[in-house]
Amino acid sequence: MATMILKITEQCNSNCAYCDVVTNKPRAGHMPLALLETVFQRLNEFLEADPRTEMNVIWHGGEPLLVGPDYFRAAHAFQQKHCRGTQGRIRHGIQSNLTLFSDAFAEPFRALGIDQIGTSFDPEPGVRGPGKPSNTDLYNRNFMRGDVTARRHGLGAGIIYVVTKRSLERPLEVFYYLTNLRLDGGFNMNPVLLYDSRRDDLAITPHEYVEFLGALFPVWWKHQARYPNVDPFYSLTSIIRDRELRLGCSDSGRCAYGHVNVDPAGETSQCGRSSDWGLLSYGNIRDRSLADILRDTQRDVLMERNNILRNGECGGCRFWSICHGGCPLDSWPKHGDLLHRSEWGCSRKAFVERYYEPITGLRFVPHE
Amino acid sequence: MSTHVIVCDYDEALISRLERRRLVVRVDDPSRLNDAARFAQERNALHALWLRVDAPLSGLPFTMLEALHAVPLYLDVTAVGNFRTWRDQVDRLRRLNVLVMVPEDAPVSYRDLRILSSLLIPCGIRFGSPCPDWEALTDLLYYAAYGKVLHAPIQPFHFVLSGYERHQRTDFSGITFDDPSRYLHIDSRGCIALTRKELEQGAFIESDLEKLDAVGDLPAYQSRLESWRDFFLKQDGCAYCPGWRICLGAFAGTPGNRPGCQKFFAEFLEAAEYHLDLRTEATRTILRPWDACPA
Ligand SMILES: C[S@@+](CC[C@H](N)C(=O)[O-])C[C@H]1O[C@@H](n2cnc3c(N)ncnc32)[C@H](O)[C@@H]1O
Ligand code: SF4
Ligand code: SF4
Repeated sequence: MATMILKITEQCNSNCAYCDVVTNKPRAGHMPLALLETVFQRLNEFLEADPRTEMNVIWHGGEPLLVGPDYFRAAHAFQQKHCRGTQGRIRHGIQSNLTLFSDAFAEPFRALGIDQIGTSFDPEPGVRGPGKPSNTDLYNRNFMRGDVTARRHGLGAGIIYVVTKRSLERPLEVFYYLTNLRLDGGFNMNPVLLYDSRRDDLAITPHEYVEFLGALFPVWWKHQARYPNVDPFYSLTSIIRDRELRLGCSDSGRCAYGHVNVDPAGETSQCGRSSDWGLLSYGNIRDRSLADILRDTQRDVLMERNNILRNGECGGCRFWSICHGGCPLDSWPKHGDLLHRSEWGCSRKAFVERYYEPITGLRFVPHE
Repeated sequence: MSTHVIVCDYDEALISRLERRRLVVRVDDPSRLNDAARFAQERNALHALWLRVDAPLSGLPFTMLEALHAVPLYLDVTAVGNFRTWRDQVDRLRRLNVLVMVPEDAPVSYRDLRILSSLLIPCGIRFGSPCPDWEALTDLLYYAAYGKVLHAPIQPFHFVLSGYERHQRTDFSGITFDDPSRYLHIDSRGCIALTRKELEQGAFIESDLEKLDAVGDLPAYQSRLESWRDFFLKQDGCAYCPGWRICLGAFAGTPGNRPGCQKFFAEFLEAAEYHLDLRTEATRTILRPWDACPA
């Protein structure tokens, strides 16, 4: 299965304090409909050529709901027009702040088969929200309204919570807050990634991230039936206890030929971050087929990295099979290349060794 | 037709307008109980008779209650009263479908509830003061949740212990008919409120009884059902509390409550988990090799 991050807009109705998309002078306007139609033609061409493959399309931004419900209706019409024989192999998902979600989105979402929305939330004042400083009250009120509406239409919304320096002040309270808000689980705690000193008030180190998780883990482990699907705990438990390999793009070591980001002008890149930083550019989707873009030789470096790390910085590490040196992009700001390991990747190892294994009594045994 | 149970005073003119509804009929004079039951049952399904008196249980006319053996009786009293005066009535009370409610803010209630429960008479706490006696409440919780001697349910413990599900909010406000997803309160003019308190304060959601079935569609009603989210718009408080999922902020707004309330509800949550495990265990199918194989 390949994944397309379809960034139909870089505009956003919010101005979250840590967000690269809005701080990097976002491009004006949304992806024109004519270009969106081309995307569906490319999808069809790609899927027709390989009847065994599927494509995960993640609508992304900026804030993708800014384009309005008719835009998603048009997308569905393009899919029907161009992907008659292949649409069964296109899975749509969306990452949205939910603050603009209204009844009008429900029908086109259903048509596209979207039944889950990935969303983002933070109760701390000044972190998420429009304006400067971010108006969190407004964001959170609109988020709640969107969440109510989405739930009424049977759309679940799993939350990404970004761990910042603010979170470190009261880890357990944040944990209870999020588990109360999502009683059926479904949130993910990611570290904030900031590569300059602009936001020293928010930035955290990998060590701080590990300590944050360590403060929560005993409670989660003891009551894991009460607090399901809390990540990274749930995924790690699937990996370590249940021996199921559940790896995301940054840990799998397999992002090289399976990922593409399409920006509002149709320019393609490896992923959202590489696009934000002007790295790994694979040309415009108007000019190249998806198969060519996914086979671009610039991607080879990401596969080579696996060999280089396994025989170098990561040599002998017992966590290699679930880390693969972490996200290659993390190497860029410090080293100016993609060939070093990510210190965030190593934070997984540190968490397992310092907290997971001692608390659970389980030991991570590498997968074959 | 709305699935709400309607809570109203015993008012024949009003009840006549509520035909075929499920009713909780409130009476404040024990001598009217039998009439109220008869009248309500003629045209409606009687969910419960609610007797609210400023008197202890011991002061009730027990012989009169006996005629109500088939009716769920919610006896909202000030205390149990002098045990000697009603000890001969214990068997009579046990035969009734009764729930005796006593106020939390009377210290004697904690003793009364143990007596009632141990006599197998279902009973419960009516919360009134914003800052209950958390320690006494915790002791009573232990008795209700873990006591090995046979005893009758004590509310709201029993409600939570028997209904708690891990991935849902558990709302015990229905114990006092104050859960708007299940009960609506109506006054003699037909004005509709979401809780008894709002009814008494004249805070109505609808003033036209004819629109009773449309109350569920009112934006104000919908937003009340989602009002639990208001806690999540504050910088601290109940949303950050481990026991919120079974308390839902019922004691919010009294700063002196924390950490007492949090400690109590953390204990309560542990007890609810324990009972959930017992329930799950009870429904587990076990292999019985001695049973005949299904054909
Ligand atoms: C860029 S947003 C786009 C989609 C949508 N606007 C949203 O907020 O969910 C995608 C995700 O990236 C996260 N994000 C943004 N900046 C980040 C940063 N510096 N470090 C970690 N995550 C970040 C956001 O919190 C959000 O969950
Ligand atoms: S809502 Fe999403 S895209 Fe917008 S500023 Fe926040 S994180 Fe960035
Ligand atoms: S226990 Fe106290 S802090 Fe917790 S939800 Fe209830 S009232 Fe709020």
